[in-house]
Amino acid sequence: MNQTVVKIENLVKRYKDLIALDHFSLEIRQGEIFGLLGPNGSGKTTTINCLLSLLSFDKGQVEIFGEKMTPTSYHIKKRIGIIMQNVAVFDELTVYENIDYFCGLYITDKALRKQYVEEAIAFVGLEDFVKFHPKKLSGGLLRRLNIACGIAHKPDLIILDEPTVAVDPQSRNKILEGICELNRKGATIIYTSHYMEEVEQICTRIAIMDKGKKIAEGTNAELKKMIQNTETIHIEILGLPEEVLAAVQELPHVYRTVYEDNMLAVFCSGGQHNLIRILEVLQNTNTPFGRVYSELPTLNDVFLEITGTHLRDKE
Amino acid sequence: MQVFKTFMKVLKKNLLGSLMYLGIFAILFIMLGNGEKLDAGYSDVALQVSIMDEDASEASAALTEYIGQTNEIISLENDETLILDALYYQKADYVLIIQDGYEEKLSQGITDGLFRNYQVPGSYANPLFEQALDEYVKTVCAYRVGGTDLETALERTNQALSVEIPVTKETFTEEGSSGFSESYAVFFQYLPFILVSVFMNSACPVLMTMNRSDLKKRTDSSCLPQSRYSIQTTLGCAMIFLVVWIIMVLISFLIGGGAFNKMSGLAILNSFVFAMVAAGIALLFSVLLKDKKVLSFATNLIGLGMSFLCGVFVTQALLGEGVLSVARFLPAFWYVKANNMLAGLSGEFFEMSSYLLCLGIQLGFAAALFLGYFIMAGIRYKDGKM
Repeated sequence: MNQTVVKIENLVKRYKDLIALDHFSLEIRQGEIFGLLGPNGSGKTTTINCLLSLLSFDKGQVEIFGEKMTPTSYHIKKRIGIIMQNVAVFDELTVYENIDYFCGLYITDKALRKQYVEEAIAFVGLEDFVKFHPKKLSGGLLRRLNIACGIAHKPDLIILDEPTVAVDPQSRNKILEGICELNRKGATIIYTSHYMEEVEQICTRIAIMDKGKKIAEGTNAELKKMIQNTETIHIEILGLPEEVLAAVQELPHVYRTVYEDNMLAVFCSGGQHNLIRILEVLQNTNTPFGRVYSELPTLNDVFLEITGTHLRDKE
Repeated sequence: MQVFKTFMKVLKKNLLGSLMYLGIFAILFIMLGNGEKLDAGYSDVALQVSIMDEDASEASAALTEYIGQTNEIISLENDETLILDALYYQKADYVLIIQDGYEEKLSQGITDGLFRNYQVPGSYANPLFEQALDEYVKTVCAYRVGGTDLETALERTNQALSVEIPVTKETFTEEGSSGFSESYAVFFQYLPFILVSVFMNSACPVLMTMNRSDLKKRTDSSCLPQSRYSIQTTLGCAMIFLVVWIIMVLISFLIGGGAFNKMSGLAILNSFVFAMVAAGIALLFSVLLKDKKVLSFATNLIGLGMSFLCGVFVTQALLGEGVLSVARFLPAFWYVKANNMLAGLSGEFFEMSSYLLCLGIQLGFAAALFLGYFIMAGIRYKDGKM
């Protein structure tokens, strides 16, 4: 079994009357891409800040690489890379100077630093922009610079706090590919996001947070198994008769139906050939239908079933 | 020294504002220096006077000669329209008509009805001219009463009134009296404005960048100890402080011709203490201001406002008591007061105890500003805003 890299136990963080983290516990193992998924304000960034000892907390304990984390645990901090939600770079410095500055906070050897900085530039594909100032870069390139500043010193644990906010899809994919590449090279990743698709795409294990609490934890498949829904079938029907709707509802494994705006949504729990059975009902009752598609459950469905609200509703 | 190097790189990008202030200050100072040279001598007020001699006598000729000694005599036709035009267009300041019978009346000791005149209303010099004229007439009459004949009386009056009283322009800033030249004193007078402006435009934006919440968070996450970060940024600030102050001292040496004595030493010490105040102001504003865009406004507000209130641009002697009572709560007031003592300006005289008091008050302000900076920085850091 892989070694535990991060261990958070019963973490409580209060801002006056507001409880930002409510007895939050977590264990992340070496080599994982661990996703912290939750809506804005759920406590993801507070968790990261407590993890890095940037914020003091009221209760609990944080251990990284098997040692208690404190603000002066510089030997632990040396092995961590942080990529902020906001692009945290100097506008006055060039791309190269920015990466060199942040790498220099960890690596004092000049020759080694030069090598690391150049590798980081190559990794994020900013070779053609080394002499550019951040203001001259596009949003996607800025994000890549932000990542390069956080990983140049080759950390063992990389924390990415919503690195793809306001990034175009092309750059987003590039960033996600980069994260997987870093993981393949041996880094353990903590990835916070409120984009469930990203978390589903890259994370090996996920914790879902809401109101400072961990509401679920597991792999993508494990989380989806926690809920009743296994498949949602959508069928376009103009004027669905009540008796047909009732017949669909009576089918095995169908636990809920919703008919809105000429679209029938059939929620199924387990079973096979659900779509064929529904289409048979429609044919037998001579009910004409249009588009038909089936959706597997998403993490949003997991969140919806556990909290009663959509992830997106909370943004 | 990664932080220090970056501090300097960021400073380099923000130097333009500071250089602009230094340039303006240099130009302003050169202009003031030239102004001082023009004002170096003393002479009596000379008017452009036109004399119409209706008496055409020996006495009226003597008077004309006397007036011509200190004024410029211009000739005009004895025509009222032409006279009024000349006054209107400022070709003449005063037109004196010596009336017929002047010599006769003067011989008899009569002083009324000797003259008529045309003059520019409200001229500050005309009463002085009339006073001189009155003095001349009365002196002639006095000689006449004493039994002197008219010719002798005119001669003696001319001699008596022509004695020039030596006038020397005495200031406490005269070379040798206190070791201050006037330009040297003026330089130190203006120093608070330039120090505040330069520090605000150099240290403030760099600190605002270095302490930007996201950058600070990233630095704090690193393995660089907080103490080393603080030492390196403090070193950067100290570098700005010393370089700017040393440049100012060097300029003062250039102005003073390299001369150094006790008074100039005390002036330099005073400027060092005020430089600490200015550095404190810059530090405090680096945590109070949230946007660099308002930095220029804040610099002008603090730099110009304090300079006007405390007697940097207008000497303290000319400021009202109300203004001065407000200014006492500002550090520049005590700097200017100490500088006035050293330069003998605004009616101040040097007294070591008063000078030290001024220095002490400034140090108090500096300490309060530094304390304010550390408290505000701590609060902002705790709130995660820094």
